Amino acid sequence: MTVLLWLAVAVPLLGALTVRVAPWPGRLAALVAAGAAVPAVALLVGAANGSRASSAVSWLPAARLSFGLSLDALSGLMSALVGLAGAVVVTYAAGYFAEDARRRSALAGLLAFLAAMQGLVLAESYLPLLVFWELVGVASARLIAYSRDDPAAAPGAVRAFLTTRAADVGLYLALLALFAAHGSLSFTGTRPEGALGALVGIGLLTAAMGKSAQAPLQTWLSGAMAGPTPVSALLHSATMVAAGVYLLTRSADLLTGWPLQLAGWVGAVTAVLAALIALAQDDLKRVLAGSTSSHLGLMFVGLAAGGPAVAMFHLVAHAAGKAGLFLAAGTFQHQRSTTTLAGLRGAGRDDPLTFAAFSLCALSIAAVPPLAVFWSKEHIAAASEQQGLLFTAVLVAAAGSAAYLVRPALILWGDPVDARAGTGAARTRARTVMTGALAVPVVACLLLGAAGGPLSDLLDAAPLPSSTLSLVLSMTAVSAGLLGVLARPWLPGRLVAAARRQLFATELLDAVAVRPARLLARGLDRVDRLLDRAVDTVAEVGLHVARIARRVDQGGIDNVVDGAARLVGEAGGRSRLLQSGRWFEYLRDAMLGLLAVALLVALTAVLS
Amino acid sequence: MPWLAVAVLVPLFGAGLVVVLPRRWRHAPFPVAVAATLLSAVALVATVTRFDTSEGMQLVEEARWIPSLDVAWRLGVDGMALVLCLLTVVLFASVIAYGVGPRPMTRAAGALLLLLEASTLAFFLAEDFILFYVAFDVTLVAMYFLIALWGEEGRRYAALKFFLYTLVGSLPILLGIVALYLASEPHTFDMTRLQATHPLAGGGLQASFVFLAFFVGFAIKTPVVPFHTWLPAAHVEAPTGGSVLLAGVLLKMGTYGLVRVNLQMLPDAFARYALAVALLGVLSVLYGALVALAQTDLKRLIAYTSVNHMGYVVVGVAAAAASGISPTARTLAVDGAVLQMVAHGLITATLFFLAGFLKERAHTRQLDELGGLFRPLPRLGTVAALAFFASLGLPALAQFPAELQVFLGVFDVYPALAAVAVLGILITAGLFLRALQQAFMGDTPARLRALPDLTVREAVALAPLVALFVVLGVYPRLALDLIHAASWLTGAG
Repeated sequence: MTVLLWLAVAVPLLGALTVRVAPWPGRLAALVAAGAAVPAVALLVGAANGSRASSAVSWLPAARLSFGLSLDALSGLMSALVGLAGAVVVTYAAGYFAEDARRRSALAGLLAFLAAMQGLVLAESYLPLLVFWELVGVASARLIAYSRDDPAAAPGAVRAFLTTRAADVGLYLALLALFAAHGSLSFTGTRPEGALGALVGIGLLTAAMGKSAQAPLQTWLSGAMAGPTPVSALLHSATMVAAGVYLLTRSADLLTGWPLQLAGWVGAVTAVLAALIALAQDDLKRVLAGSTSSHLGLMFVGLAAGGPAVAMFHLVAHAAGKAGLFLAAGTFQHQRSTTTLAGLRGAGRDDPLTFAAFSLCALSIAAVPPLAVFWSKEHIAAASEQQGLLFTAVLVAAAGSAAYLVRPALILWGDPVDARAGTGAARTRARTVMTGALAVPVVACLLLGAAGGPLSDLLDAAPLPSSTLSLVLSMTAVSAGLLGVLARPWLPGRLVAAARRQLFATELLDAVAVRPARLLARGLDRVDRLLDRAVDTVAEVGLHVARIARRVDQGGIDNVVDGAARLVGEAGGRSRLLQSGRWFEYLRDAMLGLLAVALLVALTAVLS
Repeated sequence: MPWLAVAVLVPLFGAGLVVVLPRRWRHAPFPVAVAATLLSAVALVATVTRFDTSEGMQLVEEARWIPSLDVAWRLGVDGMALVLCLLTVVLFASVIAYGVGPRPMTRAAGALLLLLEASTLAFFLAEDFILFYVAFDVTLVAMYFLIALWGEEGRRYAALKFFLYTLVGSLPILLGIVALYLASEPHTFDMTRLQATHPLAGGGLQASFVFLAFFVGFAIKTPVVPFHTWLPAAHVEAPTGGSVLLAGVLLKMGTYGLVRVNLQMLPDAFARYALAVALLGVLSVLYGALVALAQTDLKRLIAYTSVNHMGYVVVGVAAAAASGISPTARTLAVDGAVLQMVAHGLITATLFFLAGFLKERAHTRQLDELGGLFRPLPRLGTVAALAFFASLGLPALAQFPAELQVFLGVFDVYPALAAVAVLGILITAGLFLRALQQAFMGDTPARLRALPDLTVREAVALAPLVALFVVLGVYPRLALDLIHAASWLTGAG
């Protein structure tokens, strides 16, 4: 098992290095990703059969902190999910990037990301978790910045990295507090008392909100859509954004009480607001990004109200559906070279197979029975039934999901326009690869509904909650949402406009963080120049005093200090020599003198 | 063999050799410089093999010099001195490989580089205060000429400013040395004995003055805000190799002195001022990062991040001096501070090399005049991205374990200061990503499209630095086992 742990990280890492030089990068990458899924799935099987393993090396000896990986039910489950999602998406990407001159870079980036993500979910304590957590951030920023033609790519990547890094400050602080309280960074243990405990709770929650794109930090996810679509399918649906939920689940023991409750509220607010944002977007990928934030919010609610199994079930079910949606969107994008809804009008009619896959995944995310998300969301609703406001938020988000996904589906099936892409031979083969990869999430959406029970057993949790009331109410909400698509025109125009701009969250973040930092920086820069001038002034004043002294010296009492004056004169003469280029001889004399002394000293050192 | 003396004297001898070589042997200075540095490195490696990590100051070599004043040629190593000496030879090897001034290396450049190398090593290895002080001042002279001879347009002004400012800083150090000498009984300049006997223990008024004298001197060298204004000027005008050595090695002399003298010889006085010093350290962290954020000149930006990074070292050392700290946290803080010196040395050296390479190609260091450089310069861009991320403290690169240990150690006594200092990693992330975006991403201006990528010489200079900061990031114990502050950290706690 120990070997499998390290293999799960090492295989994609080595793959990332070799893909850059291999002759068939596409095939090799797909092969590596599939190969990397093998140890991951084996870990899950092992964990299901009760295997536990851990392997660590001492890393910071003074703190007795070690760096390692370990296997338990939760990490096995996440590892398998990451491995399988990686295999599907990288295979798809091999087709998607088939004609891209820089495909090696993209594929290597995807594999490197997978390695970091495996490390994150298999980390044995908070130290390796922090390491991989940040590496995931960088790997994702690199992938978002991939396109050199899209002017939005670089700013999108920078915003994604900085937003998540800002939230990561919380993770650092939580770790510091944890170490101060327990003297270790292991996952086990209880939350310390008082201020340290508050720091642990707030810190972990903040970090999770950043990675999982929770309000008001959700805007980076929308900007990240400038990345290639397979990247979005892997990072922004199934893996990276799930890290926040994983962190909270992993830390559930540390967060019992108010922190989890707070996480539930954050999730509920995000679920509703992000659904509204998704409904207002004019770009298919941005619709999906909003939807992802909303569903991650539901996972927060599920964790707070129902526990780890409820949250993880929704995580898995949502991953399958959302990955499928992004992959289908990528295929449409290939045909139309755009992801705007207007530009994609009728794309579904041109490619009914992909459209069918898109629709099925959309229905799953919209929680239509008997597809996967229907079951997982049902458990979240049932778990939150006792808390009126959370429950209401879940229902509203459910209605929203149905509405914002049916809308693009209808547009895709709308009257075709004549902007068709040519289909050459190579593209057809690439298309086959892409369609084949798309089949996997579709099948998963069909089957994963039955996974709730086994998953709850695996995580050793209580049976997943369900109730008739919540079932009836959420079915009503979904139906309302499906019909409510027609309602979009009735939403106040100003609200739609605000939602399209992320409800001004970008402006909010700029106003409270970016702009003050910039102003402060500019102000301090000015202070610094003043300080510099002050130092120079002191030196100049000193020089003036010296000149005055010299004048006094020469005018009156020159005989008394004649010697000193001559010394000054000599020094000046010598420095003039220095400037005229003959300093070198002087230096040589000094060197020879130094050398003589050094040799003497060395001799005495050797002899003594 | 007195390996430490060999490490110091071979470069010194090499410098003399370069000077006396006939002028017409134009190609001789370079191989002499390389050979001297390699021999010095061999002597240090021999020292590593004889080094016992469970002990503190060791392998002391002593030769009589001025017995009546108890001045002697005394060299010795502990974990901190050893890793800083190793850092020194690595950086000098890189700078000599790349060169300073015209090529082939002139006699002046060869002699000055070797003189600087010898004096730097002598400073880190000195166990006698007179040698310590002489070495400190010789580095100033050598660096003055490196900047004044081969710097940019404003080199005279910057070199003079650097020289005078740090020379002014060295005067209180001399006063402090004399005070310690007079307070010791019998009078001695032997640093090992001064550290063991603590002549100014108890921390009276005299101890406070001596502490402040040393602190001001080392604070100017490090530099700690508000004594830092010589740094950006010196860096902007210095030649590439000069900047690399100034940031990579010479700044470490300030923090080395802070640990060696203030922390180890004056622990009681330091305990009294620990909070104040820690506050100055945190101020440096935030101030350096914020002012760097406002810079548009790449070299100035890197210079200010040095203020930020050295601030972490100061905070760590100050926390270790505080009286309430636990032994574990104390070791962590100092281990982290020393590792941070090494990490900053490697990473900032890489950054200054890159800034120099860019200036040579694009003839500007203004970030807004650069753009899209990943296209013409994929290799240089990759190294730059790696170094930027290393400098913002990305895990798996050397600065992360250093800063994390400092944070863990400092949090034990000054949790609020540690929490504020953590914000520094966010600001540096912001400024480096902005620089990366401006210079390397987006559209490439037409005049930058045909720039040549890294040359072999440049790659040779960068390779050891990059390799080391990656390896130390992945497995920091390579350095931490040598540093092992627990075995030499004595005094208050």
